[in-house]
Amino acid sequence: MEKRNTIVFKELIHRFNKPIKRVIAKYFQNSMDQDDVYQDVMIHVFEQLNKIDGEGFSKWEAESWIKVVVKNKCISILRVLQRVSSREKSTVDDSHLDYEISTSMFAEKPTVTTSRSVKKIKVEDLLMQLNERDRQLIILRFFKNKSIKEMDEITRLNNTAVYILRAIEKLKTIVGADTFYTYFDDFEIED
Amino acid sequence: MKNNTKIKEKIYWVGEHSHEVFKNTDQLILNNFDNQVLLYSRIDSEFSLSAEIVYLDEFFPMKERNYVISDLQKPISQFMKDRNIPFEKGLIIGDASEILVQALIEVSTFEESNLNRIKETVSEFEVVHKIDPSDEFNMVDVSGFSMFFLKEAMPFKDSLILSNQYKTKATKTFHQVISQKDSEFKMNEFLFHLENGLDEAVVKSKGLEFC
Repeated sequence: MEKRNTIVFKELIHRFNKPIKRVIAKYFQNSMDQDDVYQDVMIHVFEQLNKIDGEGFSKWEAESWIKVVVKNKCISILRVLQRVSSREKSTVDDSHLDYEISTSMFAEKPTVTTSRSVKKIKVEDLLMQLNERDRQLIILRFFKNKSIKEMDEITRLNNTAVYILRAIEKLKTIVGADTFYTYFDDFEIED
Repeated sequence: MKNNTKIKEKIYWVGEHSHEVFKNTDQLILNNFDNQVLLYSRIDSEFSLSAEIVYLDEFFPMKERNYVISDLQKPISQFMKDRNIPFEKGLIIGDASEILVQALIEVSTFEESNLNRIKETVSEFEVVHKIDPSDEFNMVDVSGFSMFFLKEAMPFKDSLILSNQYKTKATKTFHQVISQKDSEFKMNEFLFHLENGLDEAVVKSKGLEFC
């Protein structure tokens, strides 16, 4: 059962990471708070998965369930903070929280990004011209912001920085140096 | 000199559920197959060093792409083409309640090469709109592969409904489709018999059925 819940948990995180962060951001404006709350919420979601058996889930849709769980956890964290800090208590309206709990279903729908920028397609096509190792290195470095040390561990290569520079040179050869920087102007690429 | 090296059958383990089953399968039995695991992304704490695992978001640049079927189609089809799936035979194992598996079924088609031949013949007599390579035409011929559906891990109502729809869809594109009925099923036993063919493996294993 616990293994099944681990699988479900990972799938839910992949699917609803952004909606979960949006719900948290509704209640906590400070980004540092959001990170802390996110960790607590994730633990809470996993605990909730362990509490309910298969039958209990069958009446829920996945997105509704996780949003309600996240929302209720956010409210309970806010309540705790209210008790601890009297200053915060004055800024948070308790009756509003009660109303939030009583309306347990979210009306909002996830925003689906349908716009496909030309630049995105160009970057994808360009990177697909690299071999798999070079492409993975570029993705890890510039899309996932991994450090060189982390990349050495992930790829089991030494000096991944050198491989990355070579991959960038390959890309510049394919499209030309000037065009290359227009494709990748969102990223910090050093010469 | 005759080369007696037996070519191992390819098995693709797609998604988190499949990966969990893969980890719990006997390594000696797994060694009889050419295994490849496809996952969506690396969870931060996971630093798996297995060469068999491919993370899709490290294989393909996922800029502005989310974990939804429409966004995963192109990366998955690129992966399948990269691994030569349209020209090979083997087995894909996955859980139809996972979006990664649903996206794989979405891009799968049956004998695309035959379809292309039909299009070419027709085009001699009439004008046919050609598919621009820049369009996201991501269909991959999977007629050489069979699909094995694990019993759904996702317990939610909408996931189970979608899962059944995709299982039905898969029967039209894959060579054979089998589904795990109950928890009596043992992967080790199934893979042991799989060396003698899929039909025998299904008959001799408990808790399986053809879709």
